[in-house]
Amino acid sequence: MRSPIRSGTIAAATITTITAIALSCGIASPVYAAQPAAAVRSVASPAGALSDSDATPRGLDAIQRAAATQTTRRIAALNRAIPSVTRNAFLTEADRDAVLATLNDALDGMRSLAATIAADTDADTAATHYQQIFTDYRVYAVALRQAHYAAAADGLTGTAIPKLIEAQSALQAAIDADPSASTPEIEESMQSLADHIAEARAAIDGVAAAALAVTPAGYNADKTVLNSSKVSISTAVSAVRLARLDAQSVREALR
Amino acid sequence: MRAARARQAAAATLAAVVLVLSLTGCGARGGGAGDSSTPSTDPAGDSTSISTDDRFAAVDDALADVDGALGQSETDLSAGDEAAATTDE
Repeated sequence: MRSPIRSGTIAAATITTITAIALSCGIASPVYAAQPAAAVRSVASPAGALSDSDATPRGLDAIQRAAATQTTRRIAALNRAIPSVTRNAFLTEADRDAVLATLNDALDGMRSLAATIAADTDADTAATHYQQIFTDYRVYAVALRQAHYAAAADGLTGTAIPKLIEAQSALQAAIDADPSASTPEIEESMQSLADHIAEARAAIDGVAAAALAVTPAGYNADKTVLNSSKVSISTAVSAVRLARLDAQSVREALR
Repeated sequence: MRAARARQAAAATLAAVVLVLSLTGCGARGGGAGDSSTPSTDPAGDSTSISTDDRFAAVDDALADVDGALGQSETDLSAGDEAAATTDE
């Protein structure tokens, strides 16, 4: 009689404790609490390296089948990206408007070309329209890629770097309030923090605008036109990551 | 004799109920560790701890925001690279 009661009590207490710990952990995590809803997931990308060759198939039927596949794939990718871009809390309003204009224009273009090619009655005309799926829109190589790069750059320029500067100021205020707590290691970390912030700012300056300025025509002329944006973002991400470690190091040393 | 046994049994049952209530009710009313809505009397809430927390609250808040933005930027960078890897020729 006693044993089941005790077991039940212990079990209930255990569940209560586990629940409390779980809730406490969830509430107490500043990283997760600070994540905006939009940060939970990113713009969905096309599934891996799909074969999207522009080698135009021979014959009207084959062209029409390939066009249906290529436009459907791009329409699906754009339909995944548009809501994600709309929700992305880090994009500036101007950049979001620019990205959405491009994505919606590409979406309209894909739908229009799909209908046009399906209605074509000769292979030569269909082949010309088929090529336009790629050369006129560059959905993957330009539209989606520049959307992601602009969002990445805006997240760094609009939030990550300004918040690092805030942390830097707060740490400096803590040092100034108690100069005796400072050490050569802390001073070195503060200098490293300043250097990494400067490096991140220099790397990311103007990157979102440059990425968004790329057009399908620009890409057709130079397939590497977005590569410098990628390199700049990678450099800035690394610098921000190192600056964050510097700040954490100072914060721990001052504790 | 029978009445005495009945009283003993009732007393034992009552004691068991009180024990169960006190154990299960502890978290809800007694400020147990799992009850975040109840003010804690834990010494961790003394003025020294609050002062230390306040000193670094701005740093912790700022770094949490850095983490959120940095994580999203890394995700977007990868997604951009993934899009680029899809042949669009």
